Amino acid sequence: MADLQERKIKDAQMRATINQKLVETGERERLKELLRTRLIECGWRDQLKAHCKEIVKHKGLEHITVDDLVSEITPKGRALVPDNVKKELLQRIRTFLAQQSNV
Amino acid sequence: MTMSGCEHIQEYKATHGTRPFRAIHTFFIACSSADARERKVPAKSSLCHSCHTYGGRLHACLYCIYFGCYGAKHIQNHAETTGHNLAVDMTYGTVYCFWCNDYVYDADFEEIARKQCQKSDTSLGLKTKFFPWEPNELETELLRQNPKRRKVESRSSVGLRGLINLGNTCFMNCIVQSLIHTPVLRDFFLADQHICHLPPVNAKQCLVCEIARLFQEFYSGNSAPHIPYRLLHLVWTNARHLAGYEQQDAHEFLIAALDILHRHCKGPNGLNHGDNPHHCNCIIDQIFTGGLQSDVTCQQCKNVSTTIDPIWDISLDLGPGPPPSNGSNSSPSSNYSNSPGTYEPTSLVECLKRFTKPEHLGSSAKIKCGSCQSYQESTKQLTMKKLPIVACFHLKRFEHSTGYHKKISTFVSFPEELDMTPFMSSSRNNNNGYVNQIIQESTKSLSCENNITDIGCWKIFLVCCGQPQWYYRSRSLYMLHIFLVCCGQQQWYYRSWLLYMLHIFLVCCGQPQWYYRSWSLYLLHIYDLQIFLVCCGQPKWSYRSWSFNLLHIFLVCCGQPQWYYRSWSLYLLHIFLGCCGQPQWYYRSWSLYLLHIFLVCCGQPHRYSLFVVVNHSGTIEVGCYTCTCYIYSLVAVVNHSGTIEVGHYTCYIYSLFAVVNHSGTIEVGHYTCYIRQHKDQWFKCDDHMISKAMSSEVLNSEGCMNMRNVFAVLPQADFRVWMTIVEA
Repeated sequence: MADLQERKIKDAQMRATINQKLVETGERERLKELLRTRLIECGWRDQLKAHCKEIVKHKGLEHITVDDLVSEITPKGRALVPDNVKKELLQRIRTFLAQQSNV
Repeated sequence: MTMSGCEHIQEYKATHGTRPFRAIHTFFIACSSADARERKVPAKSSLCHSCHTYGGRLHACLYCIYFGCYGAKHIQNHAETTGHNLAVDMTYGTVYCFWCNDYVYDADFEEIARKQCQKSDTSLGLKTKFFPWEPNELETELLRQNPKRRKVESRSSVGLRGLINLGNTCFMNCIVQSLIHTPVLRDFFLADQHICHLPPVNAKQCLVCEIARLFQEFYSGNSAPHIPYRLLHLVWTNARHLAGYEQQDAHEFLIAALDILHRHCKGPNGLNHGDNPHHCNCIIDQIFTGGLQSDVTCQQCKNVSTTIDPIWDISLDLGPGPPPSNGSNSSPSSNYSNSPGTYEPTSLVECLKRFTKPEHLGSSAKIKCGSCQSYQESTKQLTMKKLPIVACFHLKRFEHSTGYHKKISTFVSFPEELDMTPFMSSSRNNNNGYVNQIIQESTKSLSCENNITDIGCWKIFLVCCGQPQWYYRSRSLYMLHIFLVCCGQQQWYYRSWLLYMLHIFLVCCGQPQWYYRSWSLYLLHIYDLQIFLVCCGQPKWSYRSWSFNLLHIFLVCCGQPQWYYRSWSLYLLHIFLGCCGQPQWYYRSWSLYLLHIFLVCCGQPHRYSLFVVVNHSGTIEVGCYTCTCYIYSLVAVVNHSGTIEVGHYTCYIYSLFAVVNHSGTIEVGHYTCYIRQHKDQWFKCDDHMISKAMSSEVLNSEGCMNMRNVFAVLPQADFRVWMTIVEA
């Protein structure tokens, strides 16, 4: 039990450190840009836009809130990301980390 | 989306101005100052003040210094308790008003955000962001005046129209249909990218404008067949040899049409045209031009003379002929040999193989070799140096010999997706086949899943201009293949060394040969190995003192390229390579994970300290060390002619979108074509009749010409750009 907790804490710490490094070097912004480009290319943005429009139509323009939209499209958005995009980004992050561990 | 914000924002601006927003944006949201970024201002401080996490849609309060996450309601609580109703989303820079309960957009804030983002992007070395199209005033007015909208869905037939046959013009109709459905060309014309340079009095003479008008006709929604009489007239006036009512050859028409379009793209004065097709920037050249590399190898001295010709299409021979060679049956030094018996290719890939095989020019066709100055027999090999975005394959079905004209009707199958990698110049090697084999092996082993400790297979091809060629290939943590090939002159091969076993082949071609073979660290000299290599005549080469842990190799070539190898341990390899007088190459400190390459091109102003990471997909990523910006997914391919081309990783896989068929005999025949609409719908265009077709029907058709588009199969493929950065 304690082990699990410890590991969780360590994981969170590791995540925070990685995130810091990514922001420091500006890598995070670049990765975001790359992700944006890829998602536009593969049509993800358009798909999700269409889905948003549907939700707005469904709920009515007067009653829709940002929170509504966010809660509805987040799971769909996550599910629709194609595998190769995920792989590519993962590869980049790995590359970045490898480079960091050496420098 | 109204940009006037809400009254709360206006109040806020009246009291606080825009400075706090600007400050938050500059430091945390789109950090444009490298200094601030380094001081870890955003990194360390972008945390929720309540729960110290960095995820969850952080918002920054505009009234006081507080960051809170949205998901866990920290920022909402803060707003309630303090009454600070405005907060900025730190991911996107948009302002949330808690009293309006919505994101509000204020023109001033948006302008600040936009400028900041631009600054930040430039400082990171990113290109300008993609913004979807928004109409300007004139366009908005036009849209209001024309309220009818047509939605193009995946099943719509917009863009399909028949073309009336004006008297044996089926050849023209087919080519026009194919061009209309060429994706990149279509995008160009529908985006109004053509600016006519002809003077207004000659405006009707411009073929490019006519094609633009044709696009408008096709996409107008009118489904009646179109009568392309103006187009025909323009073609006749510009290409006299095609005028008349006889049946013409579709391929000839294509080339003539592309030529006329190319000329008209730049106007009558030929701005930017020049004679050199390489420098032309018109859309036709950008899309259709590829580079065909022709290497002629002198049999005597093995000197290779290379020429690269721009081509618009690839014409493939059909009919019986010698079979294509494959890597396994050629020995390193022999050339392709004519084997007896005829062989008829029955697929496009086989045609291409035959096209790119080395051809032995017989004794009746001796050429004067530039380097050994004598008339020698030679072999010639064609490969693709640069692939066009749209490749057009022409199967030469019509044979015109003295006395007879024949049509070859053998069925040639073609795939829906075609991988051109084996036919590229980069896949080819002087010693034919050997490196090709390695490439094939490595691509098999690249398919394994990877994690950070299993580096798997690296593939690095580095070729140094005109002079020594270098290939590096590393297999695993334990096995390192380095091929150092020095073309024309001394050849060097390094191969497969394990921690335990080291094979080094040093071959000096033409001159005394030196071989080192199979010595392990347990055999021979474990701790101290001295190798002296002397290359006859000139360069002096010496190997020195390498121990189990450390390997010093000094290669000094006097007067000529100098090569130094130094101090590599099991973990770290320092290789200094200096090539004097020519581009200098330095390899430094490459660990098992990372390869740092400093490329210095001497004599030029460029000095790159780049690091190169080779990853599993075969791409090499080149990043600039000094400014820590990444040049994304670049492939650094250094090729035989000595240039390094740093380009976006281009997928060499083509996807079929148009097939032109000729039915009948050479005297009396008819052209029809199949074109692909949207992603997977095929239509048969028979002059004015358009009918739906199955893809199986397309693939089984005779096909005398097919056009393919580079299709972004892999997401890394960005086929729009191919930059040549460093030139030797």
